[in-house]
Amino acid sequence: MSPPLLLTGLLGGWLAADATALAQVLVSQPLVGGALTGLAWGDLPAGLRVGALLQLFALAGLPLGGRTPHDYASAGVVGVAVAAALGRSVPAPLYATPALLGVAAGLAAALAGQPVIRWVRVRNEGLTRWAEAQVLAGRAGALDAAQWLGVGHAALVGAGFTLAALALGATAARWLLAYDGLAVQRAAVVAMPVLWGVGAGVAARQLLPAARGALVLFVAVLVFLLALRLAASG
Amino acid sequence: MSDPAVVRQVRTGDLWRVVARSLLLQALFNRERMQGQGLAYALRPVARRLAGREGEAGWLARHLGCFNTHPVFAAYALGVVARLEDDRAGGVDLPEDAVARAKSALGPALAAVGDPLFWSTLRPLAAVIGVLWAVQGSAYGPLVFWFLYNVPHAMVRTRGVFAGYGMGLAVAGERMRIGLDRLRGALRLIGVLVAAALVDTLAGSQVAGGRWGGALWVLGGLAVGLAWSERRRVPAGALGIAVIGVALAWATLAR
Repeated sequence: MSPPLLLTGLLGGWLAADATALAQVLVSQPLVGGALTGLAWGDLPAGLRVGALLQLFALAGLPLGGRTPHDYASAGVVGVAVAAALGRSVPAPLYATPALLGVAAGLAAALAGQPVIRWVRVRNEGLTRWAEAQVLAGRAGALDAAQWLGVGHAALVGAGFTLAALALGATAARWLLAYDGLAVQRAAVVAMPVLWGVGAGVAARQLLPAARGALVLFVAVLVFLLALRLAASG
Repeated sequence: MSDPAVVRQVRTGDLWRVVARSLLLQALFNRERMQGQGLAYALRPVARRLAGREGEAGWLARHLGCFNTHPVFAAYALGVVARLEDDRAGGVDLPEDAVARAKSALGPALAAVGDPLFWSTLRPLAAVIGVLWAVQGSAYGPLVFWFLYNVPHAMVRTRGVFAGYGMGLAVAGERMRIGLDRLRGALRLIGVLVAAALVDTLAGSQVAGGRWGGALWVLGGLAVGLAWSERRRVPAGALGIAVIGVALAWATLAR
């Protein structure tokens, strides 16, 4: 296994554990995970751009109560790794093409990862029952063992899912480029700005209070900033 | 609660160990018990102190039931439970179900302040600030995001256990809720400005590259994103894939 692939698997495991099981210090968010993946693949700019765009989409989901979130931990790693891998074979002027395919792979991984997270949580129920039986039998140490097994399980499943999603995503992206690279390039020129706008809209709505006045204030500030920019550009 | 005659057994070192173990609060998160087992795991140093090596399993068994709250604000619940158990072990006359009732009350109360503050305000605000840096090519973007989120995270996670232990159930009172609501209001006002600055930067980067059409696409996308957020009929990821699919179809057919 090549060093970037090995690092991708390790990152996939670590970030999957961070998302729920271990610490939740948000290295699992695509902005951070994407940058780390970009470093692993020697393409930090791709990590920043693809990770930042996926981050805006990730803000749409709130991990409230028992709700199973979409898997944006894997999305950040898969998206950036696909973009970085394609970036090595696509000429530099077509930079938006690998980024678009990376974002597509990342979003698909986020959606496909949700049932995987759900499955991990079902498996956790079994571990919980085992630990409870052990504690009731007087073996308190089983609690520690079960917790760390839970972290390890989440990490292993996360690593496996990330590598599988990367293989599928990279294969599909290469097939698309081979089938009609020119169309992908033209699509990227239009789709990337739209995706940034959609992501910004999703993030903005998350930040704005529910009151209508907040939306009005947001639009007013935005119009003011854009007018300043237009005036400055002559 | 503050009876000076009560001899307390839980030590500062035990509470620090609870803080460290709270990092695994959700290691076995599931729909049945949610954070229940994580809570018992985090409290094990307190169990060892109060019940000894022989009695800790029985002590912990009482805390294996369902529990759920915001994972960072759970620190307060851990502190309160440690305090109530320490009081009981010290001879304070508490009803048999006092700790269980406290846990049932604290879970929703702490989630009601923690979820809006951390998930709906701090995370998006820190993320958008980080993205603002990242889209300009700065590698500091992810670091800024990480620090902006994790400094308050570490403070609440650490202080929560000690404040919960020090104040008991009074910690999750009206004062905390009002104070955090005010903080959240201020952060959200900053959020409005930061969100506008992000859109301006995204549109501006298109203009700077001579792509006026691109700036219009950004603003069009913004309208779609805002409209989607009102109903949320499909996941945001599916919306993004749909945008890419439409663009690919257009690029293929328009030749």
